[in-house]
Amino acid sequence: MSISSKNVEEMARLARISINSKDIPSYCEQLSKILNFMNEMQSIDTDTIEPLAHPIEEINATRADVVTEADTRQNAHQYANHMLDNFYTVPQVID
Amino acid sequence: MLWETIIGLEVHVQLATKSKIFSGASTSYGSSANERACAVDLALPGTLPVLNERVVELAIALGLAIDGNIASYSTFARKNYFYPDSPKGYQISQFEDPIVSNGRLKIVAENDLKIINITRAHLEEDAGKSVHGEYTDVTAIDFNRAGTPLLEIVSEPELKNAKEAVSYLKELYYLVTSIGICDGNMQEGSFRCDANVSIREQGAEMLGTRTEVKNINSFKYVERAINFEVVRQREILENGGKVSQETRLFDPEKNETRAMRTKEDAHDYRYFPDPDLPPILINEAQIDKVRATLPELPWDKRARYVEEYDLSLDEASMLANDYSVSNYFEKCLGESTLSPKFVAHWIVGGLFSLLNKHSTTISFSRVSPASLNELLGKIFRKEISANAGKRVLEIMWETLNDVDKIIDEEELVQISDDSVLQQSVDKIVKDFPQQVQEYKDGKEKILGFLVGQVLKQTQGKANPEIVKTMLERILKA
Amino acid sequence: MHDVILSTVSTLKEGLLSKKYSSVELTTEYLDRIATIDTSTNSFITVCEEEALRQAARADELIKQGKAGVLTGIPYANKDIFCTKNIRTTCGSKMLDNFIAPYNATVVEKCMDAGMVMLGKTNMDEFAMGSSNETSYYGRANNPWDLTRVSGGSSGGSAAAIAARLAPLATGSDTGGSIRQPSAFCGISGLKPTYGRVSRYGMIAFGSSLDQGGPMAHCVEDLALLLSVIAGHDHKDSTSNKRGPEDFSRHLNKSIKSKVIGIPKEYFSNNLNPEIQIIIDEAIKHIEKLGAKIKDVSLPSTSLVVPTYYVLASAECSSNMSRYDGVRFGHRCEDPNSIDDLYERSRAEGFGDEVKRRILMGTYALSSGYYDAYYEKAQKIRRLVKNDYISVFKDVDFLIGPTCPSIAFHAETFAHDPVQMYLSDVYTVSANLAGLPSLSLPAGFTQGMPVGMQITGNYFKESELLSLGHAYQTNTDWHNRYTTEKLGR
Repeated sequence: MSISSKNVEEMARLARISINSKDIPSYCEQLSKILNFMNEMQSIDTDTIEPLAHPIEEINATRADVVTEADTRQNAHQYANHMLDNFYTVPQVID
Repeated sequence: MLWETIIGLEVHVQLATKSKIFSGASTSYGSSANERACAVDLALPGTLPVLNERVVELAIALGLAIDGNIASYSTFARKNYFYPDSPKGYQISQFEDPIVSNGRLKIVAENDLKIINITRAHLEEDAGKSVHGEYTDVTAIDFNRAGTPLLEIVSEPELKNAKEAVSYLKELYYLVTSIGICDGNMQEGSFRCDANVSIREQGAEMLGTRTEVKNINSFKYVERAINFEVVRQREILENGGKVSQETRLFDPEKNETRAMRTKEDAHDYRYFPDPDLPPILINEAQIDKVRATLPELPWDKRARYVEEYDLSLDEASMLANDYSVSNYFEKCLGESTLSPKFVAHWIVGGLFSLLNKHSTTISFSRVSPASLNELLGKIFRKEISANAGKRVLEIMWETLNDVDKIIDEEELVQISDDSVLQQSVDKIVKDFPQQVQEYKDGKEKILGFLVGQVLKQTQGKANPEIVKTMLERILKA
Repeated sequence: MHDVILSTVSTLKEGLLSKKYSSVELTTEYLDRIATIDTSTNSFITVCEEEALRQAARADELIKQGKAGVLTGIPYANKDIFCTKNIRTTCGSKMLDNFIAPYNATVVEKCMDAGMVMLGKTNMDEFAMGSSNETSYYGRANNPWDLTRVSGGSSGGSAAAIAARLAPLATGSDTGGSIRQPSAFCGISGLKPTYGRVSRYGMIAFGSSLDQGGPMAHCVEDLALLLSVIAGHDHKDSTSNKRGPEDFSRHLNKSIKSKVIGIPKEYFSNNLNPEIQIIIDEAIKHIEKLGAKIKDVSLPSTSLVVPTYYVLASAECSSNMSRYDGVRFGHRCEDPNSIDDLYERSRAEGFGDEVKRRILMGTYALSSGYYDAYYEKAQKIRRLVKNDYISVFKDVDFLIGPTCPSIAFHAETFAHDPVQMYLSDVYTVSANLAGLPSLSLPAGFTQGMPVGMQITGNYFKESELLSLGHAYQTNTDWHNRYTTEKLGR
């Protein structure tokens, strides 16, 4: 089992990470090794086993319907990127 | 070639909570940009979601109202996709275990009762809002809406045409507003619809390729969008082409749908259970608690109004569909002994015209149920005529003065004193000999003209029934 | 003043209360050490001199007024994975190089409320992904015992800082061994608590169902003190356990007689380095002499835990990393010409190679067509791992084995072979998969480098775990060894 350059390109597209075409072969190689290693899982039969999503099955953590956050713009200047009139901005998106 | 249309609708209902589904920021509409987007809503590093318990209650309410199955065990999943208004790069939604499933909604389609099945209703969070075209070369994003709770209600593809679709949407709208889970403000995006439309030859087994028209927020537009889509798809197929599976947007100005320009990557959302949120467990006691607070549903209320109050279906619908109208109506009934039919007539006929004239809704009525009742009582007891009543209602709205004061000032007290009326009647009989003769010759309808003249002469204050009786007595003699 | 750095926290506390020195003096001592020694160890990313001295002065006030808590005035360091209000929080990444957090992680908030003095933010593998602290954007942290060797990861900075006596206490985080392995490599004590014991709010997420914050220090006694401050239910974290704060020092001296220790046979296979085997065997014998019973047990799922862990961790991370898109905060590329360009270049520039690899693999494991074979498969094996432990804990109270299959390796050893590095996590990942508490203690030396022993306990049995560790440390000396000779002070 291996990861092809097509796989790498698809994953990179889904994950929105640009990859230089010259780096694709090394990604293929490394990711294929990792995939082979992950494939060791197939050596065991788990057909009758229920998946485990949470290690400790805590149930029902909820909060009351109360507004607890006010003035959320207070610290934005410390971390915010590219704000204009209190809006975050990105290059124009055309739908 | 005969074609049949298949429509499925996904409605996003914004749940009426004070705070967001996973954070403590406010959900109120219309603040300045990013004023209500807290760290969790902005997906700042290290932030985590915590479920708003009210959201679960509202979902249970919807589940009960559509006779659906409420899951005792329900999970959240991450729907992974990139879009600038989606701060985490994934939306917290539900995938495998939705909170509600297998419900149904009764609709009226071509005067017939039809039942539309609802596949599921699940909880998810709303995204922020992108503003295109306001600023040069950039898209501006406001995350105030990010994290607002949504209930996505998915119908089975059982709707056959645009009219049925609108009927379904309206029923659903009345339902969610009546049970109080949604504020119903479509302009503000509280109730949005995606329509999945496909067509196929009549009798064919396979479903045709469907397109999805997204984010339509008015009933009118839904109807137009679906109609346009059906025609567009039919033209393609009749010309031997194939319909592409795609997402489209409705342009209300051009009255057409168009494909979205952003390339839709085969929708691989890579759903997986959200590790930050434990499953929701719901027991019978919680469901019973919500059940006890459910008001009468619009469908049942309409039927009851028709049966108990002898209203026409139209009138009953006008009064029952909008919960604020039915509240007003029932308050009037609760505080008086007037016949419901009478009250209904005056609300639909009188009050509604005023609401229209002043472009407002019954929640902002300047005539309260109590004052309306007072007015209606006087009309019923014939202290003033119906015409005068209409006038008083208008003046009540304008001046907020009480009924007696207005009747007094406008001198609208109906004249029921026989001697006074007799004088007027006698005068009119004398003044209009030609019409009197016409009546005697058999033209009974002319009586209305003569009654009208008496009313005119008495500035509308004469009691028309008494006048009519008096005239008849004289003319028939 | 110099002796101070060799003391336990209790001794430091006594010193402060008896006015032998002030918190400001103590803090200054540590800050001076950091200034001179850390150029070699590179254990800190950000040092907060002014803020630390301010906090120390405030602590001295509280002590004067008799309002001091157990850890008031004690300096400590926070792994740079914990958000600290108004202070840069980088998570070891270029992506967050300029990120000033607008709030405190709950762990940090609790330490502040306890009157502790934060010296700075420690170095770590980028976004906690790594076992050597070599993926940090700020350069690797070097092992104080041998500067050419790694300190371990991802909490390598905290481990090196404690080992070099640059701080008496530190916080770390552990997703697949990131507290325990660097603790073992640097000869210090580190605890990964039960999942849900310590709030994850404000602790930048890597593998959400695996991550847990925890204490690092010289000795178990000190771990107990810090755990008592940071543990406890937090309503801001839905996975936080409902148990409130506990005093984990209370039962530290409880006897371990009649406790049953399980030795998983899979941990002592032929592949285990014989020098490490000898050290661990010694440690186990020692514990037996203290009154515990030893029993052989089996954890059959051991051979599959590493790939299972990496599938789950990568999958969760691929989703957790999506928020780093250059839109609202963090690194943004220059002159993006479209939204996709903004995403793709910002992320390509902001993330290092290991993070990118894991995002890609995680995306693969979740994508349609592969979900069943990878993600869901891993979740099923996870249940088997948990079942193994539940079964084994019916008969034993603790499990003991080596923390790592080797001593700290030289830098760049695994530069071209990530899978080999992953395999070195074989002993630590299961506790994260199952959510169990697990402790690493120094148990000896070989080739001049520390060797760690790992003790895993049952759910929420940190007190018992710490009392076993304390009993061992009361009777041994490994945790008191110090590297002055190497670092010159």
